Amino acid sequence: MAAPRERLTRLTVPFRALAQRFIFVALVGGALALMLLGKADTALTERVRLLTGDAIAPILALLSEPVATVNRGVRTVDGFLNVYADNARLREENERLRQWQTVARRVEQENAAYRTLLNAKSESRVSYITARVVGDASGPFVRTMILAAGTADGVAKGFPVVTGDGVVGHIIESGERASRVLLMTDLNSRLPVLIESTRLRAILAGDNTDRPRLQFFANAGELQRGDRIITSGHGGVFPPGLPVGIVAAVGDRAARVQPYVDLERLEYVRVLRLDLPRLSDNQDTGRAAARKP
Amino acid sequence: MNERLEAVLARTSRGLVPAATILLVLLLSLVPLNLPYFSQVAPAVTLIAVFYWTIYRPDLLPPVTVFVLGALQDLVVGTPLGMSALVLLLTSGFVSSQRRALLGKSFAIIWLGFAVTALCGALLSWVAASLYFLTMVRIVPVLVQGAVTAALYPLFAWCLSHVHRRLVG
Repeated sequence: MAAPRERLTRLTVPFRALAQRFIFVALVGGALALMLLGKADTALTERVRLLTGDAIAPILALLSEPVATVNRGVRTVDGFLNVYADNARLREENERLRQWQTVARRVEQENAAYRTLLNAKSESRVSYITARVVGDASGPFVRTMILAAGTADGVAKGFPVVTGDGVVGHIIESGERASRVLLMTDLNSRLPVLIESTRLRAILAGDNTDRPRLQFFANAGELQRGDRIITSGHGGVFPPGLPVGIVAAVGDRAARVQPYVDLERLEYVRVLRLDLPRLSDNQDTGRAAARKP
Repeated sequence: MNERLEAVLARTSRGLVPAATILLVLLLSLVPLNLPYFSQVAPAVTLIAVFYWTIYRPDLLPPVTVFVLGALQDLVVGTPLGMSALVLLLTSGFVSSQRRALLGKSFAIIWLGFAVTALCGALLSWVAASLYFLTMVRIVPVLVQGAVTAALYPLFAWCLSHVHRRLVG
């Protein structure tokens, strides 16, 4: 019984090796084909990405919880150690902000008066959804994050993502429970911005570095280090006037911007829902979703 | 009959261990650590695991599994679909061709072998990404990532060898 089986193995071994090599080559071809497919038919690959994103989001939420707890603990200890210095700093800051508040109140009233005088159209209403960052998929090739909120929470593709400090990026994929944020530092991110002081329009182009590049349509003008960069509202993705960053380096042909938001340390972000005036019928559902944590 | 079933189940579950470890390190690599500068140079952990299992138990990590895990990595990380699949497949192909030269050698030699593999993997993914995006992706972070991956090999190899001994035998 053993002899024929041995003979059989001796016969099948070369075939097996050949078959394995064939499978390997076919799989390499398959990977290349997938890349071409992803380049050509983005809708199909996006759907597959959404499904996997939905599937792994709960697992990632679970895995990221201990790390988040440790980070919170470290911050608490840090807060206790620095309580005196922080208090002094905050007191000073509070005084400064109170002055600003007075200015802001006056300007707000003035603005409202001028608006009624001019009968100006009010800007679109903004509500937001707070979402936890559960995945950090940044590397040398992409800069994205995974949020534990999806279409079920009111998040949709294209919505801007911000924190209290400024712009983070925008949603590029949104599944039912999870969505992916393209950070403004990603190679594929193009953000229409304004230089706050000169009102000069520019595009903030990510290149996978920490400081995205400013590209100008016209002459860069007298751009200076420390100039504030805000969103321009062109292109309709971002509402105008959101803080983006400050000019960190000015070269001959390009300038680099340091984002206000520390993109490496994000725990919660806000996804903005832009309710355009025409769509105001949907506002109730928007607010209901916004209330959900 | 029962014993045979048990044996089959045991063998199947053993066979799934390498794939499961690769999946686990992939998911763990996505957890936001909130460490400054870390995410840009975070090691290519799946490459380490694929290297390890291709050296020690290639029978438990067929190319099909490598392909599927690579594609899954692309889907969850957001890299171009097929890119990691390609890099991991070619890595495992390269390693299995050099397997006889490395097996049984001292740990330092295997580590060196991995360093070469990690560098090749980094360069390959750089070429693939640059072709895909039709622009020169910056190469320095890619090389740094390769170096970090190579440097962290002993740690991961130690963990994997424990899994290997306990669960696969």
